[in-house]
Amino acid sequence: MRILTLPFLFIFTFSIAAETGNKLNLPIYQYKLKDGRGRELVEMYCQMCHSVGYILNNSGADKRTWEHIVNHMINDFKAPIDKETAEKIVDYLSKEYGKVEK
Amino acid sequence: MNRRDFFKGLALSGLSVGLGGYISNSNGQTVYNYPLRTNFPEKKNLILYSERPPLLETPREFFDRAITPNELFFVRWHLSDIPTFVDLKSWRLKINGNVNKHVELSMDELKTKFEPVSFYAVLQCSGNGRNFFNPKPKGIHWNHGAMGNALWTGIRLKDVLEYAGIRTGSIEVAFNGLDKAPYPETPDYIRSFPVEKCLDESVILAYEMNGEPIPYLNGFPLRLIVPGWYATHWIKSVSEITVLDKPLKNFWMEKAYKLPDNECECVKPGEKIKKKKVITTMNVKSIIAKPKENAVFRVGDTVKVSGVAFDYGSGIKDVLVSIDGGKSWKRANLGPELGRYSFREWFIFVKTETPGNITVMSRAVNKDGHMQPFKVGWNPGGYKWNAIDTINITVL
Repeated sequence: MRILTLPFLFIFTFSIAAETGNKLNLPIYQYKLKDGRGRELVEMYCQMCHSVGYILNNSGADKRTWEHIVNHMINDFKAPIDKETAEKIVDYLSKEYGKVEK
Repeated sequence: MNRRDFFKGLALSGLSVGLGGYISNSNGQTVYNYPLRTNFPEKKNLILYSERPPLLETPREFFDRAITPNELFFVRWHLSDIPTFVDLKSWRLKINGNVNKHVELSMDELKTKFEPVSFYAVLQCSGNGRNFFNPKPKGIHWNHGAMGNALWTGIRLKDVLEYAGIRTGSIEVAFNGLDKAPYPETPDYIRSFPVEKCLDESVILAYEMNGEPIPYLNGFPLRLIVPGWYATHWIKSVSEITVLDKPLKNFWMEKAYKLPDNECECVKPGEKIKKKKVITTMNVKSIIAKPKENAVFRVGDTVKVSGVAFDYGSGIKDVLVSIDGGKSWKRANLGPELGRYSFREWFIFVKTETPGNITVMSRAVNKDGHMQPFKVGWNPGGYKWNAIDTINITVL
């Protein structure tokens, strides 16, 4: 439960911060992720810490690379993502933003 | 992406451009084209890879001038909770750890207690040019624009450390900025380097960039300047300096920004590094700003080819330009020298004689005799790209 509430908590505090008269107002660019199984998990877990740009920038990576990237987020940056969810995220990323067969 | 594609992209996504060229897209409209060339607060006309944390690249064509204006200067943060407001009345720089006295200094104190110094220096991301490696290493696919040159004004790090008094047994100094990760368990971006390097006269704590307070996005109110070294060491929004008697251990120091510790600083693509070292000094590099890639000219046109060159601090001796794929080279004209750590402008006029595709190349040579190679060895981080720069133009 703790894990599930975190992303929402973050969005909540982020929007409050934007209203307290900060000098620099950072814009939000709503890049649209492709529809697909697992998209909401990517939005919830990945976008908690960073924008979609990081995903789009690695577009075309093969499944092994996406696995490596997601594990990097979990092991090095301590992203609170369990194994099962991580697999679903990797599946979505490698299917929708994976290597394009030529 | 050219101008037409840009506006086509805007039209498709239903965005509107205001008088200042501003994109009103904060209300949840969808953006399709990526990466977007856009205006950002404090910035204009940069390539946006991410807005959280902000990652913005300077387009190639702006590197025809030695000084990069603040609004065109690239932006790169690791953690997305970045300082967007700092009240200088309450802001303090803390110096602690293995020192004689723990010190807290206000901005006024920093400016009045220590001697100010100013110099030009190139700031370049370790991964600048990562997009040119094949295969592409993981990480943001920067082209040439994760770099810039500015006049930095501040105080020597050495003077500040001596004010606090470095105690014997100190081996390195750690720097922490105001940026944080949204998730509390993510390792904070803190880096260290040896005390000896900190005592180098050229390492400063800057409070001005090109004569103005440093923009928030580039590290307001105080940024560590380590001329000749890659940007990973130039900590933004420095708020705490800690003198250490043992090496700093965290993800950033132990795993990130590492190069293969061998002669070529390279491995076979995909291969893991056996022996690692921290990335430090930059290499010699020149890039072609103009003309644009795939620009079209007519036979008999005189084409101005221009760009910048720099290295780790020996200074630029020559920039050589080839229009025959590297068979013959001509010496370009160099702009004024603005200090050994600065960009050096260069330009040459080329007359187009026959129709066809022309490959234009630039190759910098520094005062130590190092020059840009034809090929760069691969490394997993995609760091230190400095191959001879190449663009293609067409003559009709």
